Amino acid sequence: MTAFVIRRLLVSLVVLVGISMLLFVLLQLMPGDPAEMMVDPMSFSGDRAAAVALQRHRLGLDSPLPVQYARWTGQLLHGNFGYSYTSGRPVAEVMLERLGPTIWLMGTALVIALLVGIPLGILAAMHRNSAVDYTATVASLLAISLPSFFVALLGIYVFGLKLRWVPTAGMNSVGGGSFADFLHHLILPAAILGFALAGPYVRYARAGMLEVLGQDFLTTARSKGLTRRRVIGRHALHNALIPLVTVVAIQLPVLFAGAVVVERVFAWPGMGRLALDAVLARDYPILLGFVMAVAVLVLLCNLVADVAYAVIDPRIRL
Amino acid sequence: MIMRRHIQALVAGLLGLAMATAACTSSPDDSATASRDVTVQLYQAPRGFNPLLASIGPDHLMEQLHRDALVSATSDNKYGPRLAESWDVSPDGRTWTFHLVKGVKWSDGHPFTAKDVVFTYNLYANAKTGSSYAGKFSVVTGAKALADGTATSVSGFQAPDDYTFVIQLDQPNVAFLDELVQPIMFILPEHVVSKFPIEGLTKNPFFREPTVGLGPYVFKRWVTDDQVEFDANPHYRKKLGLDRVFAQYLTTDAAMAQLQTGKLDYAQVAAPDAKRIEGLDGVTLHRADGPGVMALHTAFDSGKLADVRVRQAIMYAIDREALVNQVLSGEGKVVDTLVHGPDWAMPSDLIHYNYDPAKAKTLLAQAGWNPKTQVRIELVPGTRDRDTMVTIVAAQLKAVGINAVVKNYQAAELSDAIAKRDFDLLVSGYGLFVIDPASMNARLTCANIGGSNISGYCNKQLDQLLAAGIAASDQAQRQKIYADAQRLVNREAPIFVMYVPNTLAATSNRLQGFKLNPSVVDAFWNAADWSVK
Repeated sequence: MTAFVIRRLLVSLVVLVGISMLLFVLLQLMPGDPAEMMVDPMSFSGDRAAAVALQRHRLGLDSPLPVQYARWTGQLLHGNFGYSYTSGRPVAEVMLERLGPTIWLMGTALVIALLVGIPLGILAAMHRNSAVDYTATVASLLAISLPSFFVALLGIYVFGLKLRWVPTAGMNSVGGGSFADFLHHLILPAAILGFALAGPYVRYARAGMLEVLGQDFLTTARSKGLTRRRVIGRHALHNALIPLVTVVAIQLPVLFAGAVVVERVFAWPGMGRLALDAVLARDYPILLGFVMAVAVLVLLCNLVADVAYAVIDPRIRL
Repeated sequence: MIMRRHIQALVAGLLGLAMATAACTSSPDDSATASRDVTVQLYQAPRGFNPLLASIGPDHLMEQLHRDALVSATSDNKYGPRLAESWDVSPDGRTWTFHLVKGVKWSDGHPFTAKDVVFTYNLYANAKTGSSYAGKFSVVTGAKALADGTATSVSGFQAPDDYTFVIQLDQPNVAFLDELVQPIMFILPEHVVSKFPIEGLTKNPFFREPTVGLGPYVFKRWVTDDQVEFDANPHYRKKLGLDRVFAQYLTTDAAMAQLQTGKLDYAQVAAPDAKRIEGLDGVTLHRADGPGVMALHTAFDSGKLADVRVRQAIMYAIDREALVNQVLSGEGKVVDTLVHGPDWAMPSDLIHYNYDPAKAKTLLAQAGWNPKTQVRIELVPGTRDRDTMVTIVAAQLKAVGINAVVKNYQAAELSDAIAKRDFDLLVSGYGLFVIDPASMNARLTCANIGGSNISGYCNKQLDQLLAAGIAASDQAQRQKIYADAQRLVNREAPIFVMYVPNTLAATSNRLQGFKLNPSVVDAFWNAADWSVK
């Protein structure tokens, strides 16, 4: 197992270097120039070409690509992720600021999705073709098909505007509030995201459970005289959930990247919006930092998923 | 069976938790009545407080709270005094004298004097600071020496005493004030900023978290990346009606919702929402004639639309009245020149480009227009009115035989296209064209090519008229000169003016003293007069 982990880590390092190089090249290929964007032609007065040249020099964009890459890598090894083109703030600071809200939102959404999705899927499998099963299947289909912004706007309208149960936007009341105020703002976006996430989980749990329920070892357990509760809870459950471990582990980096649309609709200051704004503004340092962070997370989560799988299922040898 | 019971218990628990937290935090109504805090909307994410950079709207709005300036445009479309209580210009139009308000203090108690003004204007005029406005001050005496490096400051900015600021110009400009109000040229504290090195000035944390300000509500902290808190300036020269102002970035949808729940006191309103907002309880809709324009721009480098008959045909081919009715729900008006105010600058005999597709076709035939020529309509999609507008415009142009194609660009690509002067009908809305007709100079004079004259339009006759217009100090003479200039611009149609959108804003009835500034980026111009009921 240790050898496996070390091997994987070394490979991941090589992959990361490759990703960073590819990203660097791709960013340059994008049409549009960050230096040009910093000098708005509609409100600029004077020699624009000179101003753009000055900006380009300040941002180091007038150096050849390999030089820029070497400079960036050197900075990275010192823990400096660079400075945002738009706000001038250190990239690490900006990302850390956004990390908290994203983790809270996504974490809560994930917990809700798991707490709602898995039991529902299991119930559906246990009472196959019953009313519960059909409800769960239709609900999961809705969750997968309805676009998140639509549900978000609907949620704001119903729960925020009409019923006034929850606030309509933002992460806290003006001036920053108590923790309870934060939770109050968190409920609706987390619930909506959780609903969207739960869709696939219901189906995975249901499918996994159905597959396990039909297996011989369960028949053996039942014929031994075990109660239904022991059969399901002790023997069937963790076998059914193995594939779910992989699904969740692989989805974690996606969650970290943030749900751009929901964040925009709720004015939630998270990573997703940061990334989208950075793309539109051609803010290369933030984009590089963001993609590298996600890449690291993807590689780590895949490793964790593989290890977890081996730990849970003794049949698998790494 | 047992599993189901567990699940029911779990669901019940979650609901209970939700209810509990909902109950714990107080309802919006009772907390608002006692407080003297106000929340306002920023329509984009704010970046910082740097007045030297080409400002984006939200930053400019925040600076109206934290900083102050000599003058600004008022809600009556006049130049209004701020730190300069009065001003005058010499008869030859080359010396501007500003008399500053006495006894003003910075928020740290340090006195404000003309030294701050001289210092700040030197920063604006110096392209090395990253200033986007160096071009405005190129006519100031000594500006060239600064740019060449033979001087370290601009000799034309003078402070003969602590409360007088003088600008000396190389060439006469009786309309120079127009340059100082769009955007508002905020003053920086000399006792703080002079200590920073010029190199890398824009990256200085002072421009992200300013410690000292002159405005009514000074920066306190970034509550989150999108929300900023401002506290009442303890040394402000007037008594203030609020304790704190919170500026928050919200999309229009979120802002409309927050207005209705009483959590927001000011928001911009999109034209289609105007009627609905007007009907709401507890909310007041403010409406003003817009000072700018929504126009299509062509880069004259390509020569595609060089024939004036083709340009006139484009104006006749588009049903602009219908655009205002359909796209803006009637919230706007149609004008035929860039400058559409004040009254003395509008001659009565301008061509009105009414909707006349037959005439458009005739003009195109006279000009020998090749119907195969592709004319691109470039825009950054995302705003309802522009997206609808270009669809209609493209269809109407096609109907008269112009092969118009809509091209959606990202902002970055658009900047590129503008830099390369490679665009056919670029959509952009901007400007403050109603106080002085000299406001058209930035967009139409040969000298501004490579800067704000993005079209690259150069007409020697117009240049002469506009130069004479800012040199003449006699009002009657100016009126005559600008009448000719307007007729020329009207006939030539170098910029295709589509419409003038109304400026719309909504405030909660709680907020008092709010006066809508027709220029939407100047919405907080009189924040010092705000109070709560």
